[in-house]
Amino acid sequence: MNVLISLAAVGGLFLLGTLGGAPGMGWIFGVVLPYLAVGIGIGGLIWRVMSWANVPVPFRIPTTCGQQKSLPWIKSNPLENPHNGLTAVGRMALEVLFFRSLLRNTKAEVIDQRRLVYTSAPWLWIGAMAFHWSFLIILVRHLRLLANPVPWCVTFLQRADGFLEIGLPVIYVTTVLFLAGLAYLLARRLASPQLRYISLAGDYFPLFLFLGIGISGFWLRHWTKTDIVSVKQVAVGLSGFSFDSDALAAAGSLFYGHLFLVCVLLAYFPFSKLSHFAGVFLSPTRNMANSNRSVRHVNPWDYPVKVHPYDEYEDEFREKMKGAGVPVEKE
Amino acid sequence: MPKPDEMSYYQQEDLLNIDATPPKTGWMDTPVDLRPGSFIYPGKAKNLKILDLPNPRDWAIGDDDWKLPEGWKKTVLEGMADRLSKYRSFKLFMDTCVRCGACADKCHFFIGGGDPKNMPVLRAELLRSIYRKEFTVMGKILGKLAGARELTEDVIKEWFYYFYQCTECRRCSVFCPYGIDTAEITMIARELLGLLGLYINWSIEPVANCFRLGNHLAIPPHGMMDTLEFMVGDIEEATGIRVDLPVNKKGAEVLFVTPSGDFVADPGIYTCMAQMLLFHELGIDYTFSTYASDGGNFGLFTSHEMIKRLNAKVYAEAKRLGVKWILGGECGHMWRVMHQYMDTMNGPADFLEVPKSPITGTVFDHAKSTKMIHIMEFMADLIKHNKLKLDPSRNDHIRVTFHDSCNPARAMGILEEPRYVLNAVCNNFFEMPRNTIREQTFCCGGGAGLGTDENMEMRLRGGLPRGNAVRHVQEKHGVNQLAAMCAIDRATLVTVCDYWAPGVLVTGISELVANAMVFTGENERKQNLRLEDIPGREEDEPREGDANDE
Amino acid sequence: MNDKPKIIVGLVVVLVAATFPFWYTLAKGRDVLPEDRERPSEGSRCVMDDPVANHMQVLNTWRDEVVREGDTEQIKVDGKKYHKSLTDGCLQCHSSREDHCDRCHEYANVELTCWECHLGSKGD
Repeated sequence: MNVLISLAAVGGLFLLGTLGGAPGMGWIFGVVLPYLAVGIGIGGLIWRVMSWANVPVPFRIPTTCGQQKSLPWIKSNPLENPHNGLTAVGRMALEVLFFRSLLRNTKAEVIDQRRLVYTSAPWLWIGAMAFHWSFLIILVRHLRLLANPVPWCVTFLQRADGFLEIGLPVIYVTTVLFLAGLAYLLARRLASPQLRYISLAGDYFPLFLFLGIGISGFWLRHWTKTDIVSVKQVAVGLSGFSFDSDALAAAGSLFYGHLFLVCVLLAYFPFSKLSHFAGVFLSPTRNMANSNRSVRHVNPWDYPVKVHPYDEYEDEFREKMKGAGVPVEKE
Repeated sequence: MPKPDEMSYYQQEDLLNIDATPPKTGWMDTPVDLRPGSFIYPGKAKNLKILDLPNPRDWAIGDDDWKLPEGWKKTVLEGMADRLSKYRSFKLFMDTCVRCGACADKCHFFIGGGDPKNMPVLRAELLRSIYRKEFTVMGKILGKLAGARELTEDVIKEWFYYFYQCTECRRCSVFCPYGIDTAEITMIARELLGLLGLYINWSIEPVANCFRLGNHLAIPPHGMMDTLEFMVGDIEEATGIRVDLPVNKKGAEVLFVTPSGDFVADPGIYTCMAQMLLFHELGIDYTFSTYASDGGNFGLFTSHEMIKRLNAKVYAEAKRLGVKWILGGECGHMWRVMHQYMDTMNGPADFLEVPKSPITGTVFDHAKSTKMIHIMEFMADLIKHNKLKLDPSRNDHIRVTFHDSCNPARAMGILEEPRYVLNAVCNNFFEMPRNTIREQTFCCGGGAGLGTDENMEMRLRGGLPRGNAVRHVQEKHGVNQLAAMCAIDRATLVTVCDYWAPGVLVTGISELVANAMVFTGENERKQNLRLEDIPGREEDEPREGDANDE
Repeated sequence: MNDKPKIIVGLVVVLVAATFPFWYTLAKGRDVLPEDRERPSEGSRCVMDDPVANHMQVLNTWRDEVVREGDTEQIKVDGKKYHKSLTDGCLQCHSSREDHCDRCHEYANVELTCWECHLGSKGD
């Protein structure tokens, strides 16, 4: 049910987007909506991050995944159990760039009716790395359409990405990894009964959205072969606030389908689970140093609580304490 | 006929036949099955009254009407709003989960039980679904499609059941790509339940005891003297040494705070005795306290406020007695509190000095703010400096493995110190498999207030991963003892081992240290601290079957 | 611990990176439009349909036929013969590499390998 609704939603949005190819509609789908989406995306991101930043971190609660720094002759593990800001940054870098925690993934199962065994389960990590890194590279590659002249690093990336020199135009490695990663992430969600059980529409929708963007992008490059010059005119026109009716008209329906899905993604991500890309940086169990006993952490909303002070305790038990030989304050 | 709160009620074949297939109905439409053996009895009114907690009343899990207070829904939602504005962890963990499912088979309760709501992700969704409905636009508009649902009494019952089926062990958080810590979510959920007067008695009674008497087990000061004096007698019997018994001693250098389980419960008492012997041998100027008579803090399983209320006594007592620093015993959740909460909640401890070993002169700089160190840090330093005379061959009949307790491992990272000590005092130390130790260690199944017999089914199921790993080293290396530096472990793992790996005993590390130590003026050691004959040494003195006669 | 300033700095960095195309275009101040595409000098139509989308495939096929298979037979379109060749075919009608190819290729940053073997402009 959640799967079909999400698929239908993405399909519908794509078709809606293709309307941009109709006469005169280029101005709406090629100019107004992209700016609106960027505005919502940026505004939404600021709102989302500030909604977290405005909440204090009352306690220092890192999850330690290695030896603490204690006695000088015991080797500590600063990247799994950071003891200061610098090592915490190192741990975060591993987490953000290489999904360190996900790499630990194991699969637990009972074999022979009695033995519980754990096997390494790296595929989720592989799929996630393939998808996320490809996505980033694909985004940067798209600067060739959004910037003129094209920065050298973009050209460099484009060359590296196309190093296989297969196909004409060349098929980028990241295109394949992006689609394969997404396909795997979708397949595992559908194949595992447990994952299917926990998956919401909000889990399928982004997958289909990314797949829609990826497939339409592939189609534009390798199949229909869009008028790239017009597309660039539209794109770089958005960057420079300069619009051309002819280019908007020439860009084609398929391009507008692709662009509209991107607009949906931009406007959707701050309000959905996709905001994890910002949230991961703020995770207190990962970004805090385990310096708990050497540096005092202050809770900004700390308040006095009702305790049972020693005098009351002694008042209650004084005679018994004296009888048992326990020293007391008041004889 | 055995009852659901007895181990023998459960057949291993049945428990091992784990069906993790989710039900046909969606999780929002699957009501909670309150099955005896898998839940814990409610907190009694008298305990809630001692602590001034809301809605004290006597009720039962089986009752249709849980007697929630007037306006309970508003109370819960206001409580959520309040905590969303105070705990970034809570807010962030409500927002960022992508339901990748990496946490699912990391939870001992899910591994051993297969109930999908014991997947950490779904446990959190129980709360997240209400968050979406009440605090997000998407949830308000799209409702169930966005994973949102109404807060009803059935939801409260479900919360009560599943948030007391989480031991706050943080294993899932190790594997989560966003560091989402179910312990945080469970702690908040338990606070919300607490606003309605919903507690489990197994944790709220110890809390009430701890508040009034300083320890969970309701040991009054004179009772504590009795039990410690009894231990002094046993120590003398085993070693021929009469140790001092400093209690509430003003001006001592060190305040020793340890879990109260070690004062009364077997095998914890041997750990306590071992520590008394060690301090005596080294001439350490220390003191017990009857007021700060428990480092353990079931407040951690109740609410943040309760942690602070119970923990306040530690620094207060250190100040009253005028000690220089604090030494902490072998306890798991106590060290979560001491390491991650105490300084923030009840510090700064500016009246204390940075811990310095009176024997080796080592300054424990890593504890320069909190001024409290772990007994294993202290011992490792002593052994490194050759300050303990050890004869590990006295432990040669023991083939030991080590259970990393959840909190010292994942909320502190004290992994090497206990291993260093164990290797120094035992010749036969074997590690359990890699995925079951260190930061990936498994819970005993009874932490966070769940270690009661009425919860036997869940304890055995949750104990499966640990029990299975113990049995593995038992079969492979002939392991016969499991060392753990946690009082809850020393209580609950006895059951887990009896069930899943019978023949393996549970011990504290200190106990093994004292059994290996050569003390000044000791008798010819024939018995260990349990007053059992040490194999290979008993034949010197023939006895006629009265070895353990007391 | 107040980490809000750090978070805001991080957010600003992300936003600056995300809006790179805007300030890059602003800074460069170049015209965002390409130079006009050069139309064929002779005749009114190209030898291929929809050359914008298809020229790379056609050139590739010609390359394979002529260079690898030795099939140099001319193609006939509207009764007129053309060499299956970039320099002797395309660039007979179109003026030069610079005017005909590079304007679009540079604009869209589409790199091509033709000129690794062929010489550039007509008459070179």
